Amino acid sequence: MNNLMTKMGVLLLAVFASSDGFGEEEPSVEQIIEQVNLRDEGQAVSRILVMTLTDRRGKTRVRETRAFRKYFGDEKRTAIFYKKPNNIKDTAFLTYDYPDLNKDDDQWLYLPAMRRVRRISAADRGDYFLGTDFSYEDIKLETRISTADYHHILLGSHFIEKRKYFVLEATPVDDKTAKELGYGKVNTIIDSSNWMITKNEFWDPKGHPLKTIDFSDIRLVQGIWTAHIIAVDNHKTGHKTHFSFSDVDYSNGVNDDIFTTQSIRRGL
Amino acid sequence: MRWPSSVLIVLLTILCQASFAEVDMNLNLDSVVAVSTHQRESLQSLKNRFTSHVDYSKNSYRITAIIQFEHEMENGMQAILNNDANYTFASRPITFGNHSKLSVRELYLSMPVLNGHFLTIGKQQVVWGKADGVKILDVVNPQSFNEFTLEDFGQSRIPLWMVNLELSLGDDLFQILWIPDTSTHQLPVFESTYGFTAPRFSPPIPRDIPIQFKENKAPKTRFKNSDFGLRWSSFVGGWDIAVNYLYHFEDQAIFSTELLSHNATVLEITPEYYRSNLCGGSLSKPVGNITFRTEFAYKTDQRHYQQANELLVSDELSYVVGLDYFAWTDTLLSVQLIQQRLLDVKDETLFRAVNETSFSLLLRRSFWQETLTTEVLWQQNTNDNDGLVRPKIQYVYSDRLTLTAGLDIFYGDERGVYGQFADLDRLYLKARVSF
Repeated sequence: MNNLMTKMGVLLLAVFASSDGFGEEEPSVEQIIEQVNLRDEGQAVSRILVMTLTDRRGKTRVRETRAFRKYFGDEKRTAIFYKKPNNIKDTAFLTYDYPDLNKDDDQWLYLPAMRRVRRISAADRGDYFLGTDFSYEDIKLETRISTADYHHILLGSHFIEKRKYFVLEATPVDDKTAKELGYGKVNTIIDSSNWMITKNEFWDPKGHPLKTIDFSDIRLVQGIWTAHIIAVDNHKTGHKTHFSFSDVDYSNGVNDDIFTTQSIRRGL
Repeated sequence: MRWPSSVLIVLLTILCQASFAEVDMNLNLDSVVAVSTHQRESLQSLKNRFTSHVDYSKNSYRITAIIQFEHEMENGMQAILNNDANYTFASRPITFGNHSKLSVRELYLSMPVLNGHFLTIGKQQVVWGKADGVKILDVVNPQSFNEFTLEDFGQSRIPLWMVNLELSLGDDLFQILWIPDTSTHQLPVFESTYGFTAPRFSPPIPRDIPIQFKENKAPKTRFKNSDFGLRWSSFVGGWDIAVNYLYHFEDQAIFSTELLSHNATVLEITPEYYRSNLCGGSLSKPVGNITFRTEFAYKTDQRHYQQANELLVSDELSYVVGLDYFAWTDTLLSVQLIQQRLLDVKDETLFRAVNETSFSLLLRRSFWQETLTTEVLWQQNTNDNDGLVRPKIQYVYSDRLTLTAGLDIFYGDERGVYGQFADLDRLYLKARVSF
């Protein structure tokens, strides 16, 4: 009975404090995902991204990069240029992410030691991205939610400081997808006031806790909600990845030429 | 060295006056020790290389200077000893004694020109092709063979003075190269550790006749001796496509011989170089977990030694077909088939097969967030049944220190490209300190 009362209390609170645009009605899973995926992320953005990688003994490696993203219609192109440290400088990564789910993304990697742009398969999307705890798929999604790879259910909602947060549970559509992604389950917490993801918790296909991604320092930049800190805690390896974004600029546009193989070869 | 030094000083002066120029300097110290696993005098190489890489940028203009000082402590490798006849005056390193050299590895100005096009002018490397560890299209720059092909191509490639114009027209990129620098391959001296002994690399030389080398007949630095290159590349239907053309002097010397009888009989050997046209192309595309890549080249007027001490001239078709298989997490399995066919030749007196077939297999896996990488590269020539196996392990201890250990294991017939070094297996340790 007490449990029931608590739930009813939470529900009432949710209704009165609702700021998610759905009024008294609890949105469906599809509506929540739609809100997240329709959130404005700018037609193009440039930013400085500092990656701090920490192993379980506390040893850190820091990478300073310039990252660019731009939409060409529905096609999203991303380019990342490594500036520091010396041993990885001039490495660059380029990806074309297509809206057609049946079409694999195109990806290129420039390794300065080889002096050559190498075409890489985008099929192994569960691989870790250049030594971080993000998979290639995580990098591709950024703060979006995939509807093609998962079945989603709404686990519930809660309030923190009068803000309503939804909790979604995602399970891969089949074993093959789970194996490809390296995930058996993903829980996602979404802030209904801005439809930003604030946390992802991942389990591996065998059901063991895998990693947690926290999105923080979320603030408006030129009218667009932007997470400035993204931190990953890998529970299996004890490794941590900390992404810190600065000089985020949505307004000045990004030259189309940045998203070419000759550009990642030449560098910035 | 006077000319490149002057160019460097002029370029640096211009940029130092640019008050808002951004300067980015990186320094690396590479130390290598290699020991032979066969011979009693086992130390094969003990080398230190200090490299300074400086980029001066202002707006979209950039000057890159890569300057390198190298000191080889061992005589056996003879990487530096009296072995720079292949360089033009403008490219030649400064040597200090027999064991040290200072070189301007690369020095170029890169800048946007016209509207969206790009010009790179100066001493640089241009890399064509999609193949790993095999040079079919990657022939714009000559190569140093002082350590056979064991050194990374980025280091063994010899940068050249050239003008490199890249014109972007939509998804198409046109590259135009004018290369007045006529430097050629650097071949190891005969007595050095990796001096060539396989018969395909030199004419038959009688044992009992003294040899006299004549002056290297490398083409002089003249406009008419320049190399010219064209490349079109594009991204079409998911394919990376390129078509290449190079009009150039082959960088491999052909040694002509002449018996001279004055006071005594002497075999006079003259290194000579010949023009060739190269037409080729490359393709790559991933299909699921597999990336398919290929490159091919048709080369005219290739010269090959025959047993009758004559040269056979023929055209050659070469190609590589490679598959990169990303089947397991953080693991790459890569296989390549390489064929080199002499066209319209049915000659059994050659020191090489008319149709040469070889393959390579690379298995690489990284661990611990890519701080530890293990790999095995196996290269095999099926005609001579010789090959090279290269297991390697690399550990990135920190951003400043990378440690590498590996084995280079040669096997097979001593007449083969790899088999000629069958008693030169080595274990090496490398340390790179970055500042």
